[in-house]
Amino acid sequence: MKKDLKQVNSSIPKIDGMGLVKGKPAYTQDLIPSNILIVKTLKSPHAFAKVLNVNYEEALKVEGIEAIFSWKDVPQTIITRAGQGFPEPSPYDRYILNEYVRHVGDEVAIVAGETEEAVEEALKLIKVDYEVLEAVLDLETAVGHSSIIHPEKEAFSMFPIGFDANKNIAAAYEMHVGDVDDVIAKSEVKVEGTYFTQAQAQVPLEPHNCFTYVDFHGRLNVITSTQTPVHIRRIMGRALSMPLKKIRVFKPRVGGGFGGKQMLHGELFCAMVTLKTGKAAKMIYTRKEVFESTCCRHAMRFNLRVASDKEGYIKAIDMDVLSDTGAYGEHALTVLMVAGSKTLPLYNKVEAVRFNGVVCYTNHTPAGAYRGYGALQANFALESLLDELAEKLGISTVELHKKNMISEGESSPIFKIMGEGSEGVDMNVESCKLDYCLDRSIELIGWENKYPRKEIAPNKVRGVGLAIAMQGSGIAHIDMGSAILKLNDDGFFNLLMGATDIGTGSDTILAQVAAEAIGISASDIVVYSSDTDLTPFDTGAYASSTTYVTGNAVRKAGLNMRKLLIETVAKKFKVTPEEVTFENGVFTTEKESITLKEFSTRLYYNEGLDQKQLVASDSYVGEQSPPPFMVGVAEVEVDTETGFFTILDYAAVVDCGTTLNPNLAKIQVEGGLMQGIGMAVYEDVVYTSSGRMLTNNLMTYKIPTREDVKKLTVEFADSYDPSGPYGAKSVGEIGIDTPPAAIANAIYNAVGVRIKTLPITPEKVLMALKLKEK
Amino acid sequence: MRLELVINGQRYTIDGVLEDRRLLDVLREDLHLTGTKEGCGEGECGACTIIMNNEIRLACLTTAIQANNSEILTIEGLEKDGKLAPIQEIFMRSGAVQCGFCTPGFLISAYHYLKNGGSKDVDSIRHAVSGNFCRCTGYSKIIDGIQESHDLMSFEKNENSSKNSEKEATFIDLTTEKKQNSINSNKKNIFSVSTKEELCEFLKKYGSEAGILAGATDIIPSIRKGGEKRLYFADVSKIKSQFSEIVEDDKNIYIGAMATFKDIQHNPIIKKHLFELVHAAKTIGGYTIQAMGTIGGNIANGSPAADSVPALLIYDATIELTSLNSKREIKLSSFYLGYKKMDIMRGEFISKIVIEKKQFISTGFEEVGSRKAVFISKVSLAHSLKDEELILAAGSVSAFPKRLLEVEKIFLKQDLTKDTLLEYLSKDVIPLDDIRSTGEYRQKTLLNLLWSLRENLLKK
Ligand SMILES: Cc1cc2nc3c(=O)[nH]c(=O)nc-3n(C[C@H](O)[C@H](O)[C@H](O)COP(=O)(O)OP(=O)(O)OC[C@H]3O[C@@H](n4cnc5c(N)ncnc54)[C@H](O)[C@@H]3O)c2cc1C
Ligand code: FES
Ligand code: FES
Repeated sequence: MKKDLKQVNSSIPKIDGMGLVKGKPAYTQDLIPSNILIVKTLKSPHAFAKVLNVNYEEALKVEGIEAIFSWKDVPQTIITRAGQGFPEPSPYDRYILNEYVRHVGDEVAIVAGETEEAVEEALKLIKVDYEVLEAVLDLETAVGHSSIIHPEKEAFSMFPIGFDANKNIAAAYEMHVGDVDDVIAKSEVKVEGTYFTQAQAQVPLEPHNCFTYVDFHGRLNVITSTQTPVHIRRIMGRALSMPLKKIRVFKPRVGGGFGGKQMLHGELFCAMVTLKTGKAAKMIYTRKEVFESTCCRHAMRFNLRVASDKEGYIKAIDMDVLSDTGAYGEHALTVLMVAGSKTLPLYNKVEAVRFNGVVCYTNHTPAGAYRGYGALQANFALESLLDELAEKLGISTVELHKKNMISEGESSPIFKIMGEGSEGVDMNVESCKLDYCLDRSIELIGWENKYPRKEIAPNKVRGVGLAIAMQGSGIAHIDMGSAILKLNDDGFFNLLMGATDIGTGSDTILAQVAAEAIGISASDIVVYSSDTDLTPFDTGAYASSTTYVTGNAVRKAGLNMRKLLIETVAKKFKVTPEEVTFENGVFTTEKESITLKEFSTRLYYNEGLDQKQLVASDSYVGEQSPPPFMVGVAEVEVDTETGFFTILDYAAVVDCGTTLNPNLAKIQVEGGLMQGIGMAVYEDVVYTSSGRMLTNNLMTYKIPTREDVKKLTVEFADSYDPSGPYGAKSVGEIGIDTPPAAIANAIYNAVGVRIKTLPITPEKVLMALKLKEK
Repeated sequence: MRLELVINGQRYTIDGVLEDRRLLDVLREDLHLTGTKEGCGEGECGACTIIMNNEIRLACLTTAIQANNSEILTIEGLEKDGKLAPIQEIFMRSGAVQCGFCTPGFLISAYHYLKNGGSKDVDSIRHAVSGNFCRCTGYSKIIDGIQESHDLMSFEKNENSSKNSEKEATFIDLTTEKKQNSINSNKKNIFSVSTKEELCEFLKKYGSEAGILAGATDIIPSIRKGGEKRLYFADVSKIKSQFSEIVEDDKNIYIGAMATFKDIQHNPIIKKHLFELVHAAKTIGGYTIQAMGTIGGNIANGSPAADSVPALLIYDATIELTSLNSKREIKLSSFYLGYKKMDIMRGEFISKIVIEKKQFISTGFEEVGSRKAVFISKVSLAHSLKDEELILAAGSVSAFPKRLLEVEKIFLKQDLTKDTLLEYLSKDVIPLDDIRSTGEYRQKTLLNLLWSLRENLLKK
């Protein structure tokens, strides 16, 4: 299986690394032409208000101002900006601009002008009359609140998702297997708890930005830092009532996304300006705008119950979720469902399981896609509560996990019941090395000698804790990826893909996959991604789909190309394809041989009537979504005087099938762990009581730096998934899932306090210690 | 203004630049050197890190006038004669680059560190890049990469200047360019002062409308956020060297108010006598902020979280205020009058900090905050003890960093209880409630810090 691999499973450097270390122009912002209109938006200072009147007469007089639009000046076509496949599982509840503003930072007007100064000046001169409405700022009271956040009658969902605007419900979902109440009642050991996970901001280091122009064909060109060019094109087409053939979207290098660039952001504002003025326009978000006016992670509250028998075999899990989607329902349903579908199957031997969730609107910054996508949130609740269960049973958490976790060849009814937004797909887990991951990660951390705690000074205690996790690999039966391979003279290939490398290294690993399939070196592949005019369809870089879904498409395209090459050579030498071998860049038959280089040049110049272009393509839709798995173990040291704690060591062992590029896979996981650690202990989107975001810069919103974690160890299990490209599963998201629970459990083991509300701050630890003393 | 620069060995003359145009915009927009990135525009992320006059610098917090006549190295200049610097090679090969947006900033910080004799020690490397954020990687490849390139880098002296700057300058004329942006739409007026007298006259003329652009690490973010009301600023780049000396005599140590926190960390006199100040200097912001921010700016900004102040208070520092015709000295402990209110008069600036040399039995500086680099400290407690004389100072707990005069009175009494301590503490500080932390937590933390300090001191 893996032994014969030449191009994949090797750590070649990133193909785009050279340009980046040189600081060459690469990102959207580096490519913006000069003398282009500057677009900014006027933001609502209120969490919820009706815009009665927008007077921009004075503002228009500012020298250099080109255009100003309020909601009355833009098309009122209802859309969702979610950036998902079509029909979207998110409610249509959003306009380019609307007469209601639903969170502080929601856009009220678009201003375009020649200089930033003019635009800033104009923004100040716009007079807006608001009717301030009562804002809904508490997740717990949102459902059925007297203030209805989406009173517009046009809002709807493409298919039933539980959307009920009158009750402030964006989506809802319920499913069960067996009778949970009954099984729990009969079980010998029961635990339950309430957990809260906060909103987290994606914080890609490159702020959202785009520019637009109309080309000489009269087509709208949108150059944007996005994860989903085809969805952007489709949604813009709808919002602007333009045929899709009139729109071209392409993404240059993207400086990080993490889900935050799956949705539409500035594209529509910029396009409005370009379409109405005929002039090129750019929009660059400030860091504050990225925080307040793009999106973040859905905050969630879990009520969770778990029951087992005396031996520690889990019998039932009952998960109840309330999720905060903020002002708009983007990704409301799917993030909710992933909370169940990517955690509950871990414990597939239960007799009964129930999942019930409601996603409510509030007047917060909207939530959207974010690495981990619900699984992270539920993982914190479930893995925390299982730690409690182990304690109650008097067994170690390692033993509890070993008794209950899913293993290779098994299935779970959840796979069939829960998909993303719709029904799922039945599957057996064909690769699962959780056993190994568990053994190895506790070995790495030195669990034997450290569990549960060690006092190292009168007020300093160390503890270890663990969590296991799973994710998916694309959305089965929905996500589609494709690839085109084109042979050029001199024997190199273009690989054209709609998949977007947002910093993950996917361009590199997909070049490796293509090279492996064709039987050449990855250095002979030139990757281009992605441009809706030139590259084939791809749903985009999300849902951990690129490696698996696009990877399979690339592999198929590569095999097709190999076949095509051999057939063409066979025809040339008048032999059967079976008589041609292709190795080390040379085609050989019994009598003759020719290099790929020479062959391809001849094919285009010297073969007379046989001259032709070789192009191969293929696409792939996942029949299933094989989960990657991992185990994360944390060691912390807590200061009992101050509650301050340090993460001394974090060991993670991951089963993502074949690592197509071990080095890139490793940094994906390390980066995921850092973000997970951020979620666990530092990051928190905080609002004032009137709904203004307090954490709107990098000083108050704390992402971790390297000084915060002493040691990170990431290893991979030897694994191979038969359905993946060369055995690979996804690895982009899973790294983020375990830190919250593993760290919470480690702190509990160290000092005996269980923090159930993220982030786990020294304050909370200290306060809990005080409470415990009493 | 006319801006003259040497960038990556190439001379540039740019006419008609706005004084308060950001160097970042000059680089990216006027010169199309887009390798330097903007991730936040507020000094927090490090994506815009460059080297200016051999010192690390954030291009987003530097105005054109401050950069005038300087030598600058950006990411585009690391490659020499078509060859990548070893550190670039290693970053590319090892996986230190993911999305790559942070990469130029890290490479520049690393280059500067290595060029200035930075060691292979991991903690020092981490400190050198503590002002740079990466959201994609787990940092380990970056740190390893810097370590790996340590022995491979070679540096020419003055690689930029001499030979290249003789080449003809590239001339750019922005005089008719109406689309230039400055740091803020409320146009601020920045003047460059060349002498102390000019500074004093400037300050006198504009009074409460005037500010001093020292490191600019407080001012520019505040202007960008629309929080800066003053309109006139004096760029002190030209007189900085006069006011950043650190010297000693038999009795005292004198610290020029325009010394940066980096100067302070490395100064042998301070290292010998003022250990807690070194410590405070190392914890301010990230490394880039330490290289730009001045101690005078920290004191004058008057933030409750100003980290150098508790450290100075325990040494019972005196500050020297200079005006056109006179000087006066005042104890730092009586300098602050309220939230951002100080005893500073029209026409005065802080010129020096004077600290008497003493032998202490014990000194300490502890802080509790929830992220190591680039944080404004949460709760800090500093102390010094000399014979019977105890000084306690706390940061981030009240409207300004403060000596705990009431607590000092009873602190070392034998029969003190924690409740009594709290009672006295409440007389000293009224806790702040803000986003960073709740007042209650701050007070509790401070109480705990005090209590364990007391136990330690009593043991001695
Ligand atoms: C990302 C970031 C992180 C930071 N982290 C910290 C931190 O952890 N701890 C901390 O304490 N601070 C922190 N700061 C704040 C800041 O860096 C320091 O306060 C710094 O010392 C200010 O010095 P400066 O020279 O940059 O001041 P400037 O911004 O130039 O000036 C600040 C103020 O002081 C006045 N001023 C300057 N020099 C004088 C003088 N000689 N006499 C009279 N008035 C003067 C100015 O008019 C202005 O009002 C941080 C800032 C940033 C951007
Ligand atoms: S852009 Fe972030 S520090 Fe300058
Ligand atoms: S590589 Fe993306 S921020 Fe560092």
